[in-house]
Amino acid sequence: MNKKFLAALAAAVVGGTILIPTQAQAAKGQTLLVWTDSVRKPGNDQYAKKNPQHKIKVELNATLSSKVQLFNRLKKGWPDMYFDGDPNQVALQQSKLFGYARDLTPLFPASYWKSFGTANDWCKIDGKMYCVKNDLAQTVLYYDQKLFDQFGYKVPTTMDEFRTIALDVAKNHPGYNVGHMGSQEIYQGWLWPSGCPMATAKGNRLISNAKDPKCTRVVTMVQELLDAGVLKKEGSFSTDAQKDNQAGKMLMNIGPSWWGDYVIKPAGSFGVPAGQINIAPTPKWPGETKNWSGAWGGGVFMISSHSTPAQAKVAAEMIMYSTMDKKFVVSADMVTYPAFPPSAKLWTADRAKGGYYKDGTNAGKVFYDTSLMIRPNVTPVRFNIGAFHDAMGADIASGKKVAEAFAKYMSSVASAAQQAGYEVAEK
Amino acid sequence: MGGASHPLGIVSIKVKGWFMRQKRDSTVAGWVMLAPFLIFFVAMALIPIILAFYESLRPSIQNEAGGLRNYLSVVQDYRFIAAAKHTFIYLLIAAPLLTVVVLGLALLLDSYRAKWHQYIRLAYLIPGCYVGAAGVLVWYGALEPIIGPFRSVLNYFGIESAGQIFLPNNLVFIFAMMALVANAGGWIVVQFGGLQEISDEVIEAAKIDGCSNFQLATKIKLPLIKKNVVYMVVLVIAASVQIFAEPYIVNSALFRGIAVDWSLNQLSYTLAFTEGDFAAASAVSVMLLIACLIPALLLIFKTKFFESGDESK
Repeated sequence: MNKKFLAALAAAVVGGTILIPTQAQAAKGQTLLVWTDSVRKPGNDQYAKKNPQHKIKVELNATLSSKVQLFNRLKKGWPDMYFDGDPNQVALQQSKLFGYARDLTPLFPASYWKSFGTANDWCKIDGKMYCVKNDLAQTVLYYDQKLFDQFGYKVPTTMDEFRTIALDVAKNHPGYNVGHMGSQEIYQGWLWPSGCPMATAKGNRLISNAKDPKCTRVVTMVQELLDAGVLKKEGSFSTDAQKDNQAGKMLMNIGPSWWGDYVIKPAGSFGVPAGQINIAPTPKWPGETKNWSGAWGGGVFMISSHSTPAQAKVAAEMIMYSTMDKKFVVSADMVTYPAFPPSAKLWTADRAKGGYYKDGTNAGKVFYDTSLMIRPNVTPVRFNIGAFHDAMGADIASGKKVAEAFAKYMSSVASAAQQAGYEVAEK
Repeated sequence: MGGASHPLGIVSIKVKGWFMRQKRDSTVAGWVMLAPFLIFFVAMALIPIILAFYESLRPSIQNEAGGLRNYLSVVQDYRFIAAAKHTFIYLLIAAPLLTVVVLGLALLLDSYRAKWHQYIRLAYLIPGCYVGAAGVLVWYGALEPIIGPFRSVLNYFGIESAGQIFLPNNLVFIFAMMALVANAGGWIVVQFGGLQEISDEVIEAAKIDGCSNFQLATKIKLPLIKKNVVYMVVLVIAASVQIFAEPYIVNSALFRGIAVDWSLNQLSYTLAFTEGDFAAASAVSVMLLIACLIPALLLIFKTKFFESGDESK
């Protein structure tokens, strides 16, 4: 069955313009309002242009979460399709209180969900799909091959090796760094891959345990490396990080898949020249079987539960276009890592030719492999947990002890979870 | 009504005959003049206040029964105490600072009358042009020790990173400074205008009686512009209690996470627009209104703000 499916898929890749056959065209002449962001807009615009039978209005608008309650009262105004750059929103938007996100399970062909593998599990709440992941933001280890060669280091595959190298850098090559921590780095790149149970929703229970060794080991190591001066307390987007790294001081760094193009490469950011950076899977924590990744971002498409079935169908087609149109997913407009695995294969093969990474083929392979290793211990929750990630980073940036910042984070999570109606449990 | 002024500010005339007609006419004229204000007041203040109060009693997420218990459940919100503390400390710092600086500079400006006064007054107004978002960005630039224009000064004092300035404990002072620079200029011009209304005879008489410049300022000028000052303090307190733009922008655009739900107004915003809890958000808003009204009413009645000046008996 699986083989047959893969064969069909391969045939589609070779022959068709779209990676899997879509269902019959939706009813003609639908009017749709689409709210999207600037990165996703080209794909949405292209679909609208290619389907002139529908009247599709694509607007740049990221304000659904602040307006949905007003729309609910007015009983009108909701966009038919919405892109949210904050994937956590899906839990709120599908909750009874917001009621926006539609169950998408029956709207897409079964083969579509199947080809997603586990890459869309984030959107699965109580067995139903409430969103489609447009892109994945799996963390990887970025490292400067030139510096590694110069200092004679081997790329770390475990966090113990990472620590050993970091402490050696502190001692023998002061001034170089292995990351900046004052933004969301500790959450996405450290606590998440380590498997720390910060906020895992299971129905109405929220598992959250600050005392779990998978949390405390991170707190201890980050504090040690901050104290050694080799991890920096300022955030990756601070002027401090830019100053350090523009001066060529970044030895390695755990960051999401979009950092290469958007943080490490741009001259106005870290400005690391082409041909120096390589990537590897996020180093493995002791006792883990896999090189788990965390994720930083990875936006989602949602469809309104208030739209008619025919409108929803058009919206679904539009999402399929953005996630799997063969030409679109390798075009310059597809700037983030595609969540849909067959598209990701094409994208990584194409990006390998790009020339920024020292070993492009390897980079493509690492991106693909790590995209399948985002640790499933973090789920969307029905409260704005992103604000607490930010606050934990800000506390670290202000010089607070990591343990203190983490304790405050976990207590905020517990309070917000209780207010949101979760039963908070340690296991 | 006696001899006190009409609430509309038009002195009623206690005579009979055709004077009565004139009184009626002037009352009509008063209402006509008041109408534009009244329309805005009703549409932009009175109705929203009534709606907010009504909304604050509807079922909230934490208290599905609704009613006055919403207020209790908002106070018990895990963010409320911290936000209230920040707002209160900010009020204690920002309002007196602004009042003292404004009055000090206005009195200084008034004590030496020179030709170029008007230019100085203009200069005072300029910082008031960048308030809110623009003001925050200007201050960010000014306090940024790596790329900012004053980096050499900041570096001289050992400040090498913005993280040394934008610290959670410093925020209240940074916001107070932003508010001071943005708002002081406008108020200085207002108070200076009031000071210029004081007649030269009064000033001269005081000087002949041996008044020093300091005594002149504190014993003669300030009491004479008392109402202007009260008016300013009332509005400054209201603005301080409602602080929102500065922490919101610093937190969402410059240093993410540094001021999450820092002020009560921010908490109200989060409750309404992130969590969809309009009842709880309205309860916070009504509390803020009361927090503004109490000092305003105290000041107004303590200083007999509405009594028409000197002569009425």
